Amino acid sequence: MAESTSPIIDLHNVSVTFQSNGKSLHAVDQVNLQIQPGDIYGIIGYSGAGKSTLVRTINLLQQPTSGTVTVSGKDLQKLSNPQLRTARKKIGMIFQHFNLLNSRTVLNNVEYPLLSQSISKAKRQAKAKKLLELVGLGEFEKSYPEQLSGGQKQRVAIARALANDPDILVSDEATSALDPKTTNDILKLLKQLNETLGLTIVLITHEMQVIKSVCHHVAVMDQGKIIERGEVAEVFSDPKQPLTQNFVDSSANVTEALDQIKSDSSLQDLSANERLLFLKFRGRATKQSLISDLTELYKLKANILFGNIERIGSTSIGYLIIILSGETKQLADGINFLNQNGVRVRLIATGKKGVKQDVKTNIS
Amino acid sequence: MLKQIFPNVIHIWPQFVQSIWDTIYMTFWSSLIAGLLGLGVGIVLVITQSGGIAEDPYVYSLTDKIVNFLRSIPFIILLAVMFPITNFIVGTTVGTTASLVPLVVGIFPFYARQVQNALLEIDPQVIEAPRSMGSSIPEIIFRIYLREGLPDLIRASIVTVISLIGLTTMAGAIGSGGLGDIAISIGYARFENDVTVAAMLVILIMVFLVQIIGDWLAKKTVHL
Repeated sequence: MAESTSPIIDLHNVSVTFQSNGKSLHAVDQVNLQIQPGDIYGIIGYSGAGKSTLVRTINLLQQPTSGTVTVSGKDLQKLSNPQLRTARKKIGMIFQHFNLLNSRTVLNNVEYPLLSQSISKAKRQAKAKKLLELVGLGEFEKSYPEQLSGGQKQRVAIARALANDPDILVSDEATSALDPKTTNDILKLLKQLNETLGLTIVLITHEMQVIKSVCHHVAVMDQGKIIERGEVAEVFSDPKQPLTQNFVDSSANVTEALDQIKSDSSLQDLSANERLLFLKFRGRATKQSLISDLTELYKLKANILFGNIERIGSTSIGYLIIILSGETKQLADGINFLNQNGVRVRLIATGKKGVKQDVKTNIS
Repeated sequence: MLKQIFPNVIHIWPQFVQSIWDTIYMTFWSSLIAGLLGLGVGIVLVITQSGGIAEDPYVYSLTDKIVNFLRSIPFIILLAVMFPITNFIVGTTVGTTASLVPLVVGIFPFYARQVQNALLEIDPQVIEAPRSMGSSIPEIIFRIYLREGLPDLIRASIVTVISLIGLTTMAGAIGSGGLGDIAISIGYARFENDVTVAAMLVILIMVFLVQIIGDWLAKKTVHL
């Protein structure tokens, strides 16, 4: 990850420790994170992983217990209060529950960040109107937030976050309260802002879909630590950590399918020459006709119970759950053949009088 | 007709009218002074509490204790206890102006708690947004807390003003003037029941008016 430009966000050894009932909770544990200008950086993890706490250190809404936070070359912890407030104006933030001001109209909400600047009301409102048009809500300026849908509220929040012309936009689960279609629209908007304004976006989510559709880089967080990171396609096409794998699998509905198949009692009565297998194709394996080859070369029959292809960047990951049947010797050879061609094979169940031992050696 | 139902009220009519004005005077000025004081103390409680925008456990704990202490003194005892202080501030202990001192001390801690509760109704995340935009503490107080909390603040103010009208009548016991004074010193002491009833009716009308105006204002500030 050696990049030539200097990072716009540089978290160095950041830890946040909360004390509760005499116990210390390491919400963020020694995290190092560098984000380049113009990047869309996703941080994914389940709730409680410390993502929110981590991104809140970027504008010091959360003071780190230790470590340094450098944004746009400035060490934020060394700034005075007024200097920190000025620095915060260049870091926009949007939230899961929008956090709009219900007592103000949509236009006044967008205007709010500009109130502390010494510009005329006319100029202020003109800018707010322009921002509302940018997010596609030009005609809603006189409405109140309560009259808008979730997606519209988030657009207002985005317009408000852009009012101070920030360099960075931090998105804290901004699409988690929205339906899938609205989520897509908001993500498209973020992508567009990244491309047109050169906005650096830091986005936290628990949804793999969100990361896949907009992020360039991703960090996977668990128990306060970043356990895996890199380019989105790289990390998700070849996950090193079980948690990362978990995100990929559940995104492709594999976890669900496996559970269903395992609990299906009719599949428990496999005959001796049947194997219930879970196959994962990656890289070149996705471009070959391996299943047909099994039939041709080893006289094996494949009954497909589930199949899906997950596209991540330019790579695809294929999932198949099949019942493979044929001669015992052929079965072992067939599984070996799959293994040699880069398919990861997992045996889920075997026929009652099955020769598990034979097969086992070939299974990774 | 009125002469038959309220003979004694008609008899002391100018005094009765004066006591209505006295009650309005006491309610107005003590509302204003205690309102500002209570608002200030309520805001201090909200911003200095743990997790507040100007967290300060010492200031919070001290303010909280003073409010609790003042709230626990029964008003009729407070009236008596405040005598020397009232004398020091106003120069006298009788009359409507002198009664403002115990009225303010009696009601502002109550209002401070109401303000605190009203402002705590605002979602802390809504406060986090302006913090992330670099708003200062005064900006957050005046542009967020007091605006977002306005409907609840108005409701709290109605409750407080209505309580205060009640307290002004109690101040009548120490010669403050007003409707409470007249109800006790004339209606009760001289067995002129119609004066007491008339005083009560006027107070009821005042309470209703405050409630109606307050509700209307609160409704106007909610944007749904």
